[in-house]
Amino acid sequence: MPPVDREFGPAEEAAAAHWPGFGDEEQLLERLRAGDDAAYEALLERFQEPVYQLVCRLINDPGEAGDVVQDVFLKVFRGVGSFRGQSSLKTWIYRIAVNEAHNRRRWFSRHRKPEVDLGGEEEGPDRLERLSDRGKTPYDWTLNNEMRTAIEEALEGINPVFRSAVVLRDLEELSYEEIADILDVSIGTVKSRILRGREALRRALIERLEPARGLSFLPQTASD
Amino acid sequence: MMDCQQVKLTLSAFQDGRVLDSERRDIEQHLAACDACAERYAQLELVRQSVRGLPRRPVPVHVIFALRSLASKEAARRRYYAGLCGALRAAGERASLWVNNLMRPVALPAAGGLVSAVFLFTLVLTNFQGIVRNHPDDVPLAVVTAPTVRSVLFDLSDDSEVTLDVFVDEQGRVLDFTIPESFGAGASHEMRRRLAATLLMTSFNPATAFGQPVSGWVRVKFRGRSEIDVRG
Repeated sequence: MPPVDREFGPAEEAAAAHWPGFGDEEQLLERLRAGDDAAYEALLERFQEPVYQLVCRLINDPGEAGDVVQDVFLKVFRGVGSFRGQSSLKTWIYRIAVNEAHNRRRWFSRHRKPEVDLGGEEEGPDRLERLSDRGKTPYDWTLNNEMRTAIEEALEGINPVFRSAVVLRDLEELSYEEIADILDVSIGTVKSRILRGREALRRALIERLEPARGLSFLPQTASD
Repeated sequence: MMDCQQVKLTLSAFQDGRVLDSERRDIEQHLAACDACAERYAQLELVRQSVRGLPRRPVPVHVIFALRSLASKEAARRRYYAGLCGALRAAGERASLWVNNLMRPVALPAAGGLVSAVFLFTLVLTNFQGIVRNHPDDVPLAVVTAPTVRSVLFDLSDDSEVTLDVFVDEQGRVLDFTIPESFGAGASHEMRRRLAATLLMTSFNPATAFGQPVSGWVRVKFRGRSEIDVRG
């Protein structure tokens, strides 16, 4: 029996839209527009961590993720005056984050390599790898785990379009409707992207883990 | 009963509970009967659980501080522009920015052009001074000018020197004249008659005020047969 989809019912939606000390989302927006420091603080408290996680997973570069998150919140703060509530505050912020991450990734794909190549004598696909600081941070070393590394690398390797859908669904645990709203696509497209993303991850993990470990990847129960 | 291809396309939605009850029952039946699809489902479930189990990266401290600073600045900016005065101030600043952005690209070329024009005009002006000449028929445009003598038929037979104050009307005709006290006011009757006859034959340019002819006095000094001196 598969797990039940985590859909937001009316009670959960109301809880998500409730802002302690401010009331509902509309009242929070009013306070934001009035320049209330506490409202800005509350907004950051709720969204800075999930937005950072989302951006980290979408651009594969924790160093750049900080800059992107600042750009995201700058746009949120500047746009809060013109935000008319066609979607929830949450999906609006996530949409800005996804778009900003995609823009940054596209910018890097166009500009980063030519910058590195200037004045270079050596050529080759591995040169960028050697010049970039790809080393693990102490945090990474502490949590180093082969499976986790494999999952992360597989996630980085799949098509960004599918990755966005998988990350929003499985890491941020958003509903299909919210994902459709964030990515500005239909629910059918969301289903298709999640399916193809998970399938790509499955294939990448089989290729990576099974030859080395001889993992069967078969479902096993405690009695086996 | 679904076939493997149909199950393959719906497994992801089945994982998330996004299938109809009838579809769910069909898929469950198929998975119970098909080892290949069951294995695929188990792998997909493992993938999903693995992705969900990825550790969340802590937000770096410098990013947290930067966001707090950004929020503080934005809140202050919002307060600054709140209310009617703030809206007017914002509109004024936007207009100023718009004008600045509009003018900035042309400011340097325009200033350079103006300086060049002044410089060249200064250089060229000296060369054109020679062609600026007074024309004899020019109408004087100064604020006020005195009458001037246009022509004279001198009829004084001796070489005496006489100074007169002559009143000339706006058509250049002599209406009256006097001999100033200090310049021989005691001239003889005959002398006065000859002076009157001489002045009748003398034509004047009338005095002007703002370019228009007006009547006015002029002091004229006769010095012998061929000389005349006029003082306004």
